[in-house]
Amino acid sequence: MARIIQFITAVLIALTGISTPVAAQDNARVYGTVETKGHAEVLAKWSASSKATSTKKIDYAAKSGYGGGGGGSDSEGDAGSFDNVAINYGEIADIFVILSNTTWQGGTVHEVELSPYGLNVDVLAVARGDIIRLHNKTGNAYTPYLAGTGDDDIQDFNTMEPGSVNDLVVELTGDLELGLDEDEEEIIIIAAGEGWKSSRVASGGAYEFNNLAAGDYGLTFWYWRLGSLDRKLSLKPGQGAEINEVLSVDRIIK
Amino acid sequence: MKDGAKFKKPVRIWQVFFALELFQTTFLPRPTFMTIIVALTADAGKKGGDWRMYVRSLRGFSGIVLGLAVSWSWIALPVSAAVAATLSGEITVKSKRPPRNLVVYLTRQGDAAATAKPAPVQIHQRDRKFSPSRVVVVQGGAVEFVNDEEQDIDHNVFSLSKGNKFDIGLAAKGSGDQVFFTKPGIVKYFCSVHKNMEGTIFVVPSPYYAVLKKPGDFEISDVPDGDWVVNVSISHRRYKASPVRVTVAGDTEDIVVQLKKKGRK
Repeated sequence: MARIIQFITAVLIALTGISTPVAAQDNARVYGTVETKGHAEVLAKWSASSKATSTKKIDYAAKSGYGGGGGGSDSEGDAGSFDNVAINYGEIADIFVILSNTTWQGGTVHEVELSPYGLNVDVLAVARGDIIRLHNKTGNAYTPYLAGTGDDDIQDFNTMEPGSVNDLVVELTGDLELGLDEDEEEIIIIAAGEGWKSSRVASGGAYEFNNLAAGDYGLTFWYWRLGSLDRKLSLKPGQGAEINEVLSVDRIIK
Repeated sequence: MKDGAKFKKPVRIWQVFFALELFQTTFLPRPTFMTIIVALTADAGKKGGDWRMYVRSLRGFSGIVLGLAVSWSWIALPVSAAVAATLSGEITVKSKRPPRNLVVYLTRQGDAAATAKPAPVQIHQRDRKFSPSRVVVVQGGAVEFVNDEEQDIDHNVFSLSKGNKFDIGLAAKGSGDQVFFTKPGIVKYFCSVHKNMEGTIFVVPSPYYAVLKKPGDFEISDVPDGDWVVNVSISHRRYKASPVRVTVAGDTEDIVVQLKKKGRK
């Protein structure tokens, strides 16, 4: 009887050991904030010009980057006026923070809706093996595809009937587009890599990756239109690494 | 006087010869032209024409000039024929919504790179727009980005496209910056200041190309004789072209290049 109890105990301990992820034991984390900034020279010019001439109030301190943006009136050029023509780096929503580890497999689900107004997502950062769950909420059939830049970089998917949902498993990596055969205008820009986990952040927002195993990681800050900044980090068990980053136009395009 | 009288006759023959030469260059293929010359020669022989007149005619200054001119015409003929060929055909695709904005281009078989550097293509920045936003540049050639805004508006032009990354920095009104493109492909470019300013540059490997808004008929002129590959650059990633090999020897027609959806047969 005692041997049986010992055996059951041993099995339970073993099972506990197996089911407990190493990451949870290590419990490391990476967190921080990210913001985007436009050209310092342009910002300074607008700021100076607005102080000298504009009656409009521009609260640069309250915003990151360009503040309210700036476009231009007919008389002032771009200086100190707003008309949604200029990029408002302070309000960019599609910044991605990507943590990568070579041992990770994909499997994260990214929900995307196609409605009569179009796709509800403009940009994604995914891992190979991730699932893009596409909901066709239109009254028409659509055939999605995933395409890279090369002639053979293509993934075909079945045509989706109205109201249907399809799990598109990402097999390609690199600079991709998710498109629809029936509508050339609807495109999602996708960055895909091996062993990626991503967090979508608005400029000035925070990101966090928890329950990480000790080890080496890559950390990428990416805004599709400007490019990316790459970092490498090595985490110890229980370590919390705070990494704040600024994607400045002056810094990352070149 | 007698010689002079004899001299006049070959001059008239030369005039006919030149007229034919011009006519041939413009309208006739070479074999037809040669047939006419042979026929005229035979005819002249029948009528008792003295071909020594031809030699005599070359003694005088006029003869030398004519001789040189004829030599030139014979040398120039193959050259003019080589650069005047037009290659035409059709780009086809089986699709209800065919891709737009194509560039049909030729590459020499076994020689991908263009040798001559053409003048820079200008893209203007005015009213916070690139104009034209879509251009074609021959590999090795340049685009000049000109900020000709009327007001004091700064712009920037940059691209992250693989193989053709660039960034001209912040460019003030009145500036002009040249960027050279060394790798064939499609270059997406943007202004980092203004959100709606973006465009596409097709970098093609030879100066022989045609721009199409949609699949259909195309024509590429001044193509030298030789072996070429006809290909299509498409910005829509869903499609690819099936390149066609063609031998150009004079005008060449009915070339058909098919566009296909990638991954589907």
